[in-house]
Amino acid sequence: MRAHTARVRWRPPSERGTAQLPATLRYLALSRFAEDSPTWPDGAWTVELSFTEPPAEQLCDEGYSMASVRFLFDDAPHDRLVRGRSFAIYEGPTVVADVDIMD
Amino acid sequence: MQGRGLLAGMNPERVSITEKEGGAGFLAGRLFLVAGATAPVSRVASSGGAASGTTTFYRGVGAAEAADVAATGTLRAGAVAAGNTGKYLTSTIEAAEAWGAVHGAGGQVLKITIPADATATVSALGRIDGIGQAYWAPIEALHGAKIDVIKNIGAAATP
Repeated sequence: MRAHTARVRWRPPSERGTAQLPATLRYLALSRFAEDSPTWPDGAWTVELSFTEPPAEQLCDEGYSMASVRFLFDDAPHDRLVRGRSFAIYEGPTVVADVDIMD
Repeated sequence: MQGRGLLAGMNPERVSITEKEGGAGFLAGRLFLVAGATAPVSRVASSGGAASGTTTFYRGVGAAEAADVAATGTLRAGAVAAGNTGKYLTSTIEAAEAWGAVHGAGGQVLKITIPADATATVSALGRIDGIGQAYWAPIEALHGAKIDVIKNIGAAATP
């Protein structure tokens, strides 16, 4: 499964429900695309984000982190991960960030 | 993508829990996850009935999280939870094993038993990753959870 370069635009703490950004190099989240069913998260797929530095440390002034992103499972809709696409990521029912695919 | 699970047609809002009590324990041991004030949508494995008031979930973990649970006896957020502030749980051993296997050898399937009233903040997510029903538990809901290892996933790599 190919990993794509992505920009992760973190939602404000009031939306994420925490002031802390992930302090890990690997972060798993549920993806939500525009074409997902209204019944989402039923039918959602997990994405894996890999960072070269933990988001808490690499956050830039503009409020985003750079990562590589891929779906965690082979059966996921990999064709959604193309340059220019964006989707939201969630921890359970809580939105935490928007992800822009860069390549 | 079509909704395939028990939450099809429902909004992914945080759920509340009700457990029918009294009578002859007609619904003892059954836990209903109710979105808002609508109809029951799911039953999670329960043990012991209404008297004990516990609910059982399963979770597949990688080697690092398995080691952390063995060392601390607790489920923790953060580094051993892929940066998450809570845990994803499921209702069957098979689904837990499928999720745990993605983390490689050395993982485990954990049986997680929590007081029924602690599930008030647990969210039913529906079918995730094409594997099975998933639930999101904020880490606070898992304080005091009873954790049992019920299965090893693969063999740990040897040097």
